[in-house]
Amino acid sequence: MLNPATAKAVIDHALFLGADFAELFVEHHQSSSVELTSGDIDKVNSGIDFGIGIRLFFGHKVLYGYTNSTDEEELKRVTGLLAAKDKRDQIANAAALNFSRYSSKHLCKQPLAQGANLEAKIAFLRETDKAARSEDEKISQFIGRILQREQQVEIFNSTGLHIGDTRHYTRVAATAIAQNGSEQSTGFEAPGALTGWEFNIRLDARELGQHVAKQAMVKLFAENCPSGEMPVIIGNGFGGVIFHEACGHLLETTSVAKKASVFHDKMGEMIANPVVNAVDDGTMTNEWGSINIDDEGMETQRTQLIKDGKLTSFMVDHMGSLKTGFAPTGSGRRESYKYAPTSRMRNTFIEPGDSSLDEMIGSVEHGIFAKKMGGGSVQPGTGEFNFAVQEAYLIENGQITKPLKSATLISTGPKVLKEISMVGKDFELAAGMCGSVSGSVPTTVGQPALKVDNILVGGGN
Amino acid sequence: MADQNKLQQAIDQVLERAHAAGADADVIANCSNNFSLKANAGELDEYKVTSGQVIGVRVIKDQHIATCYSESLEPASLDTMVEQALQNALYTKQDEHQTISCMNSQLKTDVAEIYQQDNATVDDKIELALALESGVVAKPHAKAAPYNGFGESDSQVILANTQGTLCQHQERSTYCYAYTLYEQDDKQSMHGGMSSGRRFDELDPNYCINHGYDIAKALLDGSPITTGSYSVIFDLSCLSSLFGAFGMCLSGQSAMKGINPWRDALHDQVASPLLTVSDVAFIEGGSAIKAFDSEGYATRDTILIGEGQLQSLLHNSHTASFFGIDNTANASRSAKGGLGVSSRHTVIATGTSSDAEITAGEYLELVNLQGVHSGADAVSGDFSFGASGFLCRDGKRIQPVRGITVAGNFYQLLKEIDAVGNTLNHDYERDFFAPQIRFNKLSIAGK
Repeated sequence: MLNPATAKAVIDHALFLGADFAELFVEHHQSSSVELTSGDIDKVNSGIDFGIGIRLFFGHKVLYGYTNSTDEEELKRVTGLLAAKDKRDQIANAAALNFSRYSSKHLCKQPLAQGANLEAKIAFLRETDKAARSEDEKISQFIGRILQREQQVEIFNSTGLHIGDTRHYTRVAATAIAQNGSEQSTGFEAPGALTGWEFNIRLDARELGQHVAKQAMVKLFAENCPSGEMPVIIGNGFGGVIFHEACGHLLETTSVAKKASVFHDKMGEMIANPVVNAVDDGTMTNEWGSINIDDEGMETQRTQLIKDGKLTSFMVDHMGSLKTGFAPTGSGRRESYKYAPTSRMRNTFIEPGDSSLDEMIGSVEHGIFAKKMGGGSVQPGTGEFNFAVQEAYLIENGQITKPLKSATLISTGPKVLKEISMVGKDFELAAGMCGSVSGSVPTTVGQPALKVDNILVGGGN
Repeated sequence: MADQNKLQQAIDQVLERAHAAGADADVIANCSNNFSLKANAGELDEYKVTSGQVIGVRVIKDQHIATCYSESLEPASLDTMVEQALQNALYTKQDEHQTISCMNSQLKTDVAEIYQQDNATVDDKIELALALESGVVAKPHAKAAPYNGFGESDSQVILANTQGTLCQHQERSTYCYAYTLYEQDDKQSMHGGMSSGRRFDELDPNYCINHGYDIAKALLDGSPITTGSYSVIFDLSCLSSLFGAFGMCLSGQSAMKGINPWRDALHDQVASPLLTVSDVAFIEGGSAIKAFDSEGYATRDTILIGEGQLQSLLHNSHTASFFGIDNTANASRSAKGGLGVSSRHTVIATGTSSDAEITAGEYLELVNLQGVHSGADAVSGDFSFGASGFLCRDGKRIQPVRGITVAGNFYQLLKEIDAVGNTLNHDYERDFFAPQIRFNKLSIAGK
């Protein structure tokens, strides 16, 4: 995408201006989306993003700029603007560029560049719509969307790195709306994978439609959720958002280096109940949060974050490594060329334990089964977090008794890690988008069902 | 930033290609220059200089509509973009209501306050960024200013269509912010202050430092209050977030899709008679001032809720045609997307209650809501957010409160307003203007 000679000339120019390190991130990003509403194709959109991000280090200071141009003079102009206030005598020389090859772990059979497959996608959405509406006459609306993206990146830096990657993403979002008089409720699922349109083989359109319709129907007649502190069983799959928000963000060097994480000085210490083992793994084949290389060009890896309750690793990017002294973990990620990379999660999950879901529910006298979690957020400095529960049930005397309306769980990361007392066997992953300082990136959350002994539940009662 | 001639040439080429293919089209071209700074440990931590451009086309051929965009203005890329949009349109439904209907509009935003000369130097801006961080950490028990920064933007939008419309808009904006991480006796709290304007010298870094620090300090010893029902006053940024999360109820597009709970409620009493909400095109100091909407129609003021009665939704020409009513000129479209609707400045009219009347007796003042994006169900109106603030009595904070959730139903909440204040304020983004509003009996989960 960018002539290596041009890249080398710009990097040399940056080092001539006194930078310790220089990097170019070149991105060509093709996208295609199709949306079905009220049984008809409502929107088809496509486009191409292209740009080059330029990052310079002067000590621990990060200078970042971008442009849409591949012209050497324009790239040097932006570099000069960035370095204008820090210019000094040259202190480092750039190594010769050396193109690195590797085998992609994530094969793609139907990439976007070979066709958008709009007819097949529309047929898929129509089948999902039909299944959702057939589930119950109270399903008043179905909105389905398929997004396919192909992101080509090429990274050059002053250590001589020259490497590229092509990432294929496909995601299906399905929303069903149920209506009873003036009351409305929604069901939502959005599975995704690091693959091409062949992702549809892994998905059953009918099942997806039925699933979101059932979710909407359960909520339509649900009662208000009780409020107060109580035990909560958090369901598998997207339930992993609790770890993502409550702990994952606090283990990124983005927070750790600034001492804005409550875990910044806890390496090697017990930070969780001994039943908790947690991992951030970028290597899982075709998973939504996987990558071959991170956005700094480092081959990604599997990082054991917590082992038997003990903190064993942070997620570390290049600058995070310089600031904290921990080795990079292939975790430098960014939404696009418009963002400087920072340490971010990939596929982040709590590993399976040995309890069954029935055992966990049976152990609760009065509490909540949060079967399906929604999104959440965390304040890294204090560890305070909140999660929405999308589908919840009341547990009374060890039995699920009735569905409940939406609720929120709030606590702090350190507290909830110690309140996890049982970890299930039913491990599952779920796709999501994570927003942070380097933009919105695809991440997978995951876990088996687990029991939190005591957490504050905010409901309507 | 791409020069004016290059943008104009790109727009002309796209419209010519679409017209030659027998399609109607409109084009949005955006370009911007941005500069931002962040500080850490007494030094600049991030220095970002960027410029970007994007052009997007919406084509309508035989009543089929589709969109496509490109970040390249090269002629070959623009031809590919138009061709792709026409291909996309083969798959969409026929829609008689969506047309390129704005004829010969030649509007240009002519408001001096949104594009002002700014003589601040890069050194001034660096000094401010460093001062934000150092101002926080110099204070007792302020452990860090983990989030802080300065930013400015100079952006231009051109909208044109095959019906002779050519509208232009250019604006400058700037902002700064600082969060305080306060730590004492192994307890931590965090809060931030933000300031925005059109010129560098409008920014108030001392407010950012002191507001964030004072609230973080005051919240440190906060704890949950007893679970129950409380009267609540949201601070303006929280109130803005709350209305933003449920903004769909005022969208004509959501009504057209059948997912707006107020789609059949026109002229019904949907809120307390104390509540009047308008969408306002121009308000002094507003951040969303623009002469035209994303179809090229002149923006105007619309009363949405008048004394509790739903008077209008937000419409573009598509939704207005669908419902057979007047267009409110609230079309929104980015270069990368399709046609939608959005508000400009949301203004809640002042009421008659004085500060003393609003804050009489016991109530909960909420200064921070967490999880607003995930804890709100706009379709059902149900919400449940993490929150922090102060238990107050007669206008005085008597106890900091943390670790609670506030829950309810937004559509019910609007009917349970106790009082509306008589002073209009704006949020940090300057697109939400409201007085203090006291809500009756929200469900709070605490201890």
